Order: sequence, then C-alpha cells, then structure tokens
Amino acid sequence: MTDYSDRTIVHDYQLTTIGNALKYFGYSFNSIDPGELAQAEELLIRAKPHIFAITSDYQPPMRNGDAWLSIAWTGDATQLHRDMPEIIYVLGREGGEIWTDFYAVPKDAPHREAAYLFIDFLQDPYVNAREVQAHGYPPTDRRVDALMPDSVLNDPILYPAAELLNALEFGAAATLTNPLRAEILARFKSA
Amino acid sequence: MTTAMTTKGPREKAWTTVLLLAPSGLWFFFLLVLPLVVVVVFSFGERAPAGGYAPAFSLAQYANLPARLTAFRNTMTLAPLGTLACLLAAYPLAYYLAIKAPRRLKLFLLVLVIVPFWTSFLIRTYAWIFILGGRGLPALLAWMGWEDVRLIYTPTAVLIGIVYGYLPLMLFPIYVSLERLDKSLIEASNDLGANPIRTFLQVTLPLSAPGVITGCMLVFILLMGEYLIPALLGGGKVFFVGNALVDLFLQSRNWPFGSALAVTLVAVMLVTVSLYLRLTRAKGERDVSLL
Repeated sequence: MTDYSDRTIVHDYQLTTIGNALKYFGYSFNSIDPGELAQAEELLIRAKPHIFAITSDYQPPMRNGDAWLSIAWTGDATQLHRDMPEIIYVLGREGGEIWTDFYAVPKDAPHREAAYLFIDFLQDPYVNAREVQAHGYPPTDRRVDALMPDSVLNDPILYPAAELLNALEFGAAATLTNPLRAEILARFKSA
Repeated sequence: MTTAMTTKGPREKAWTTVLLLAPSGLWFFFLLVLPLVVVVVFSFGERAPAGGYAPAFSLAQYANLPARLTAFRNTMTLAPLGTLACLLAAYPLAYYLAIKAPRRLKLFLLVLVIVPFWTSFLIRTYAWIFILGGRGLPALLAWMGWEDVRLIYTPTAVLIGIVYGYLPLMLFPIYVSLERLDKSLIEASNDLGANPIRTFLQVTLPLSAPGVITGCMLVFILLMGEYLIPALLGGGKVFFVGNALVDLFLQSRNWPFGSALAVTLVAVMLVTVSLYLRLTRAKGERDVSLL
C-alpha cells in the first residue's frame, strides 16, 4: 500500500492545495509571487494523473477505501483515526497550514447580547470540552485541557509535538483573496 | 343595445390579454430579462481589485474564454450523452406505463416514480457516492468476479447521476404523449399486417415525437447548466461549465469573467437548441406541439 497513485486526494481549496505545492519547493505557504506560483502550478498539473479526486469532502472516499492518502484538517483526522485506526495523521516536515476558528459578531447585529450569551455558552470550559471530544479539533483554551481525559491530551493528532508546529504558517488574507491562486486552481481542475 | 351583450369587444379582449400576461410578463422582465442585461454588462467589465465588478468596456473576458475550454468540452460531451442515456432509460418505462400497464396500477406506478423526488436532490445524489464507492457496487461486482472496477469520480458516475436525477423530467412528457396516443391506431396497424416492431417504428414512435423532443429539450438545457452532479460524483475531475461558474463567482470573485462565461453558455444553448428544433421539425409543420 505504498503506491498512492490514483489513491490521493487534494482539496478543492486553493489555500491548502497550492500552499502544499509551494511547500514542496520550500516557498512560503502564502506565496503570491507569480514565479513561485507558476512552479507550483506545473507541479500540480504533473501530479494530476495520480490524483484520485479534487474535493474537500474527503471522508467518504477515505472511509470507503477508495482513497488512501489525503490532505486533512485535524478534526477529520481525529474522526477517521477513531473509526479506522489504520489511518494515521502526519505533519509534513516542510510545513503546511496552521489555523484557528473564531466567533465573530457583525458590527450592526440587532441582538448582540444574545450573540454574546451564545459565545459564552460555547466557550464555557465544560461545554467546550464536550465539543472538542465530539469533533476532534484541539481547543485554544487551557481551562478546557484540565477537563479532558488523558487519552485526548496525549493524542498526537490533537496535540502534536511542539517542534512539528514550527514549520506551519497561518493563511494570510492576501493569499485567500488572491485571484491568481484561484485561477491556478481552476486551471488545475480543468487540466 | 340588447344584441351584443355576451360577446367581448376588441377593447375588452385586449385588456383581458394584458391582465392575463401581466403577472408572468412582469416576473420574467424583472427576474430574467433585467438580470440577463446586468450579466451582459458585467461581461464587458473588469475584476475589481477586491473582487466583483469594476466598470469598464473591454473584450478581455471573452478573449480569456479558451482558459475554460475543458469545461465546455466536458459539458458539450456529457450533456448530449446524458440526454440520450436518459431517453433510453425513460422511453421503455413510459411505453410500459402508458400502453401496457394495467389501468389499476398506472397511478400507483407513477407515484412510485415521483416519490423519490420528495427527498432533497442533493441528498439523493450524495448517496451515489456510497453506492459507487469502494464498499458499494464495486464490492458486489468483485464478489461476482469483476475485480477492480472503478466507478466513483469518473464520467460514468456523472452519467449515472444524470440519468437518476433527470429520469422523471424525461419520463413525463413522453408518458403524456404516449398516453394521448389513439390506441386504435396501433390496433389498425397490427390488423393491416405490420409486426410489433414495425408498428412501433412507424406508428408509435413518430406520434410520440413531440413528447420525446420536449423531454430531451428539458433535460439537455438543464444539463448544460448542471453543477451539483459533476461536483459530487465527478470528484473535481469532471469540470462542467456550471462548476467553472461557481468557482469564478465564489472563489475567484471574478464576476466579469464569470459573466462572459455565462453569456457564452446561453449563446451556445440557443444555437444548439435552434439547430435541434430545426432538424427535428417535419417540413411544413407550423404548429409547435409540446406533447
């Protein structure tokens, strides 16, 4: 099972797909330099015959055994590994993406108090701990760590070794809205 | 003045026409014509720096169309193929329902065809990912001896999804057309000595042609704009014009290029449909019969 040709999934998402191609060359995950992007595009098109699917919904093919390798977000990796222990999660040594979700209230929201109440509820450590154990994404709140079982705290998927995180980059706004990267992904899907 | 009380004068007739046409006329004007005009105007513009539309007059978007040639090629191949596959699946079923099925069962069988459509189209198409995936049909085929059959995320999967999703749309015009067929014509043909195949080819099929054409038109036109089935069952590798449009409007936020693509799609559809109608209309026929 070491031949991943035609068993690999990349995301239908320019940030991670192009970002990982850039990391192959050692460029920044967020690069919007046309020269570097051209190299990334060339790599992607060369890899295309070996790619099973370009989709961000990779759990069904992984669970069905159609795909054996996929770029994955932590929570999906936790869920997949929990149900199918033979699936492992690896952080590439070249790096990749680190990200965090957050709650935002629009400036002119008519019921801000309700929004804050809801956010308070979700950020309550007890509630947050249950949420983490359900979806498998690590929390950013130390109070939650105190409420979780050791099996979760020692899980390398949710809490990888610190040195593995050094090579990861947060996605930049300029990257996410860059039209050239979006166009490259469209050309990759057309190829 | 007691003679002309029950017939409408020309002025009343005109008013009646206006009132009857007004609702749909206004609807189509504000929700179809005006938006189309906006799309055409956008197609000559430029992408604003933060995405969206920046006013301009340039043909650059249309010049950039070859970048989406694959999308057009996939759509122009799989839309006609899908229509044909749908027709081949629907016609025998429509024939059975209209001509051969016992009267008591007809309604029940028709309901059986419709009931799946009470479920969301998205969910029904999504289910095929599992049916065509490694643990579904290919596993069954492997157990029967055909190893390594790959169905999911191929053009075949998209075709299967198309036939499954569009079957009723093709079925009902053909069914109605066959249902209205005068059965005594078939009897007469048999009495005159034609075998069943000849009767079908020379009597039934030509008389059901309006239904067939309507069904094919409905399915083909909708398939040209299809997004969901290639997105779910094509795995990002079967790229339709619909998928290209969604990416342009939502990911690249390149509205002018997306508009140019949309205008081109509409133009291609108009040309194809007119050609098809011209080729299938019998000479001298002026009436457009839909069923």
